[in-house]
Amino acid sequence: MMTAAKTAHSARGQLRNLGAYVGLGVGAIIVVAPFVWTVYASFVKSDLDVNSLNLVLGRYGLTHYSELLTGSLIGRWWLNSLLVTALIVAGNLVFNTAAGYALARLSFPGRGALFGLVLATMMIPSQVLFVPIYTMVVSLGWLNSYAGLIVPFLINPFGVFLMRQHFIGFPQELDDAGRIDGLGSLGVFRHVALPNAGAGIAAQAIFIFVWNWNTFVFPSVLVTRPEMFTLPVGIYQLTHTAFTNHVALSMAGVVLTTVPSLLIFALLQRRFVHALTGAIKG
Amino acid sequence: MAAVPRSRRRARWRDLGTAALLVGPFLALLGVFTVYPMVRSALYSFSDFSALRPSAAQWVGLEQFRKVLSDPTFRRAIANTILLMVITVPTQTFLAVLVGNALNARIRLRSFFRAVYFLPYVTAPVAVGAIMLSLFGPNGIVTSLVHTLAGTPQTAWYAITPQAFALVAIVMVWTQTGFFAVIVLAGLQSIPGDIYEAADLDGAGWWTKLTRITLPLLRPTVLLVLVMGVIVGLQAFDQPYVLSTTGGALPGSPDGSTLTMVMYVYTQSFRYFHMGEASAAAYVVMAIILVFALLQGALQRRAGETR
Repeated sequence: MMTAAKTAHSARGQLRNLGAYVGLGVGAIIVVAPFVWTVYASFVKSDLDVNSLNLVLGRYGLTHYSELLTGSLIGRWWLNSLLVTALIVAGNLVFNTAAGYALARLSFPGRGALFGLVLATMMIPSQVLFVPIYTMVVSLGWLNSYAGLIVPFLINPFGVFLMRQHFIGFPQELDDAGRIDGLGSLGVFRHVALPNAGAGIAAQAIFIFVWNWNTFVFPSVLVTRPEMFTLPVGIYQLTHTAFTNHVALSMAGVVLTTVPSLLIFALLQRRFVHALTGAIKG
Repeated sequence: MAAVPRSRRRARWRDLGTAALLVGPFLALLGVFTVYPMVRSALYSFSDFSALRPSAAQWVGLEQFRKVLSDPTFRRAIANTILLMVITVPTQTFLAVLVGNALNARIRLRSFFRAVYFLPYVTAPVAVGAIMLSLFGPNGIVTSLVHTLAGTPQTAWYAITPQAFALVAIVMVWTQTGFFAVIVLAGLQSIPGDIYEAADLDGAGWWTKLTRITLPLLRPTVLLVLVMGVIVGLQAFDQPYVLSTTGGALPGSPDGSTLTMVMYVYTQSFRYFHMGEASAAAYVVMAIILVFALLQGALQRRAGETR
C-alpha cells in the first residue's frame, strides 16, 4: 500500500518534472537562438545568405573577422574596456569593502547617519548625474581620457551595502580573538576580517564587473575619439553607423566583443547566482 | 538616557581613527561624484544653463520644470515609459515565476539552465540591441516568420509603429526574465522544506501545494520582482535607445513612439545641450521613482506584518 502510493507519487513527480524540462527547454531555445544565429551569421560571407542555411561551404569564412581585426579599432576597445573595468573594480573593492566594514563592525559617531546616506544614494537614478558628471569631467579636462571613464565610478553605495550585510554576519568571537592577540581595530580588519570575506568580495566584484563592463550611457558621452571607446561604445558605433547595412560584419563584431565576456561569466555563474541570492536575502 | 556608562561612551569613540581611515576615501568620492553633482544638477534645474554658453546661465526659478512638464515630447515620453512598464512588468514577473518554479523542480542540468537564462542579462544591452535589430530587420528571420504567420508587413520592426514599441518591450522582457527568475528561485529555496513534507503527509496534491503554500509564501519575492521591474522600467534607456537609433535615426524613432523619460533627459542634455531642462526632467523622473520606492517600502512592511 505504502509502496504503491509512493510509486504513484513519484510517477506524478516524474510527469511534473517532464513539464519542467519541456518548459525550460522551450524557454532556453528562445534565449539561446539569437546567440546561435549571431555566431552563424558572423561566418557567412554575403549578407544575402545570413537568414538561410546554406550547404555550400565556400559561402562561409573568416573574412569579417579579419576585416574587423585589421580595419577597426576593436583590439584597442578591448584593451580600453579591460583597463577601465579592472581599475573600477579594484577601486570599488578597496573603498566599498573598507567602508562596509566600518559600518558593520566599528562604533563611531555618525555611523547611523552615514548608513542613511549610503541607503539614500543607492536610490539615486543615474540620469540625475548625467549632466553634472559630464560638465565636471569637461571642466576637469578629462573628456576623452581614462581618468574621466574611471574616477567618477570608483565607489558604489550598493557595494558598501553588500559588504556591510556581509561583515555584520561575522561572529564577534573572531574580533575578540584578534584583539587578544594584540591587534588594534585596523589590524582586526586587515588580518581577521579581510581574509574571511572572500565570498562577499567575490560577489561584489562580479556585480561591479558586469555593470561597468556593459555600461553605455556615460562612456558614450565622456569619450568622442574612437581610440578611447570602450567596447559597448565601439559596438554601438560599429553596428549603428559604420556598418548599419552590413549584417554579417556587425554580427562578427558582436561575437568579438561579447563572447569572451560571456565565457568569463559562464565560468563564474555559480558564484554570480550565489552573490545575487545572498544580496536579495541580506 | 542621561547616564550613559562611561565605558560605553568611550566605546563609541574607540574606533574613530580606524573608521575615518576606512570610510574617508569612500566618503570623499561619494561627496565629489554623487552628492555634489546632485546639488549641481538641482541648481541647473533652476537655471537656463546650456553647455553651449555656460557663462550666460541665469536663475529662472521653476521655469524649467514648467517648460518640461508642458513639453508634449516629455509627456509623450512619460506615457511611453508607463505603457512600457504596464506591458513588460507583469509579463516578465509571470514568466519569472514560471521559470523560477521550473528551475526549483528536482531536475538534472539545473545549473546549466540557470546559466542559460542568465545570459541575456550579462550580455551588453548594446550587443543585444544589434542582434535584435538584425533579427527584426527588413529581411530578419523573425520579421519573415511573423510576416508568414500573422501577415504583418515585411518591414523592419524598428521602422514602423506599433512594431517598434513592441520590439522594445520584447527585448526588455527577453533580457530581464532570467535575472528575475533567479530571484524567484532564491525566494523558493528559502521556503522551509518541512512545510511541504507536512503537506505531503496530509495528502496534498501539487496544485494544492502550489496555491496554498508556494504562492502565498512567495508573495514578498514577487513583490520585490514587481518593484524592481517598475524601477528598471522607469529608467529604461539602453534598449530603446539602441533599437531606435539605427542608421542615425532620432532617438525614440519612429515618430517618438519609443522615446522614454530617460532618453528625453539624455537627448535634451547631449543632443540639444539644454542642461537646465534636462536636469529638471531628471528630477521629475527621480521623484516618480522615489514614489514607487517608498510605496514598495510600505508594501513590504505590511507584507512582513501579515506574515
